[in-house]
Amino acid sequence: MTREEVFEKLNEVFQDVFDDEEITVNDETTADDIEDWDSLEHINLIVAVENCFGIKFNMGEVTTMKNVGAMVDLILSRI
Amino acid sequence: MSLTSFDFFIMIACTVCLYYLLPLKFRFLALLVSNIWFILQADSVFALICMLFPAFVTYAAANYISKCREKTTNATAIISDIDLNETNKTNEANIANSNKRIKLVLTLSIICIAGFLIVLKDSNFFINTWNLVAGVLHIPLRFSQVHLAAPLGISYYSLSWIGYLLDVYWGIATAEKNILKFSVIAGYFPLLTSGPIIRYKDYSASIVTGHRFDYEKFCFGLQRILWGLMKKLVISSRLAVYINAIYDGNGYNCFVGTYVLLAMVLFVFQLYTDFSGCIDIIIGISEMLGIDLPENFDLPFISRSLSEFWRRWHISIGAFLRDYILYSILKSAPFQKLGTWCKKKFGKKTGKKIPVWCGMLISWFLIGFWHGGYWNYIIGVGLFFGVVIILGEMVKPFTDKLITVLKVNVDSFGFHLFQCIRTFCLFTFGLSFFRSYGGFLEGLKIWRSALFEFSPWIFFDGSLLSFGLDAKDWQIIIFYMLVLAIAGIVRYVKKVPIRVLIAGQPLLLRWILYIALFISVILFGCYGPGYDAQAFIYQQF
Repeated sequence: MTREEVFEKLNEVFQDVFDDEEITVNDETTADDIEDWDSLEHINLIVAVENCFGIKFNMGEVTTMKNVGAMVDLILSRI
Repeated sequence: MSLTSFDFFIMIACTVCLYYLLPLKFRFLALLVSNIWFILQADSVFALICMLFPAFVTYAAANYISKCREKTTNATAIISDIDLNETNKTNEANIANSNKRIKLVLTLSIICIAGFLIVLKDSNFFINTWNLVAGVLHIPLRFSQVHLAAPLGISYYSLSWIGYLLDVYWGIATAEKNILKFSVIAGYFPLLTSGPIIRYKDYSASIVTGHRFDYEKFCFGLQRILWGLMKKLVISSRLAVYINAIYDGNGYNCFVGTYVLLAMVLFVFQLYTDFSGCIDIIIGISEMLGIDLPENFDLPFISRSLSEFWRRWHISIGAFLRDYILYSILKSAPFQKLGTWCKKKFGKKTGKKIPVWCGMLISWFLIGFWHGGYWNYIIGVGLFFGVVIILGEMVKPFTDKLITVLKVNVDSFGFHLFQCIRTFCLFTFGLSFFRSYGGFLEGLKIWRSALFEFSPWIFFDGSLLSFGLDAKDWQIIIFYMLVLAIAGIVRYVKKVPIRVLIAGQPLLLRWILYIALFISVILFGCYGPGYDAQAFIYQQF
């Protein structure tokens, strides 16, 4: 899977979790850029990403992801 | 040894001198000596022994996990390099075994550290709860209370060590192999009094690395200590006189109405000046040694909601519970199943929130329980806030509609002020349980006492002068609270700490302010022979 394909799928996950069809993410996107992305919604997002790509993040990764770019790097290293 | 005692400042002076006299490479040894000195002076040999046991468990477990991880990583690399054959299968089996052993060691070591903390601090909670249940169910088996002395700082270092082990397990921190360096980080003495609870991966290097003398940082450290002493000795110690008179010995039964309401409000400021003053001293000492520590307070009184308040107040405990406990709970299989079930039953929007609320209640219970196994803590700094935050989320759709109907400008200063006052009131009411020391019912009695009689004339008829504080004391409290408020407003507006702004002022003005702060502590601080210096409130946890 290419980076672009991962982003394509991630956009769908973000739109579904945050109920907003307008969301498009990029490498630099962080929780500050999406209104409902708080520390509690973060876990719902992580689980949705895990289910979408069939992977598992460990808790260290969950708490240290700096932006969507870091998330994509991790996804690409697992699939 | 209190943080405001003369002995403590002698110890700090000796530590600073020894630290900068030693070669860079060995400066951490000065901290090791101070760690032992402080524990022996502030507590006892028993406290030191109690600390050594879980420290050794943490050190050994972290290094074992790290070693197994290295082997597993090497084995994985070998598997990916070679073709499928018998050796490969053996390697895979070895990796699986190694992972099992790692999990077992991690689980046992966490049980050991947490168990040690719970046994020493919270045995009576379980005994009392059992006796209560046994009474209701008419079971004859009862237990007497035990009197175990929890060693200094056990609540703080136990959490830090559990966090360290999990970070090593998750591969985001490396295990410290040097036992002397580990001892310095694990027992770093300023943190033993009131935290903050640090994450090893972020601050261990700063503690053990030898720092060169930095004049600016050293001065900032001294200023921060003075600022903390002002909060504690000038404001908090005075407020304690009035608050103790109302709360202790059931004073709220004798003095009702506005007396109690005032005590509830002032206790928020007492706790803030006491706890944040202690943190100022801890961070100040560390700055003098060139060590950076995280902030534990970030202008909590500007918070517009309770959840924001708890992100600004005692930041380190909230962050610890979020990163290590709440996330793990929410990501666990039972909670995921609960989430799926709730989404089907209540729809996507509400369904996904229910597991989060359940996880929050568990976390808030644990925050309260961490303060001590008493219901006044479990409710007063735990469940009360969890329930209020969850109720707030539940009614949010209605309040949002109300705001739209009433055409309220949510960006206006007036609305922000209303939100800040609302948050402050909720915090004040929750904290009255915390201070009541008598459980849920006593907390409710305090509310009743505070709200069922309104007697504003006590501010004008001299009634407040009969609690051990004279007019001058009240003037000092008001003046220095205003100084704190101005410092907070400046920090909020300019986005930098006030000491940074002062450092940029002309020499004369700067020194007038420094000397004024020093003289304030000397002249108006409550200390010295005959004065019973109260321990910092959070030192008991």
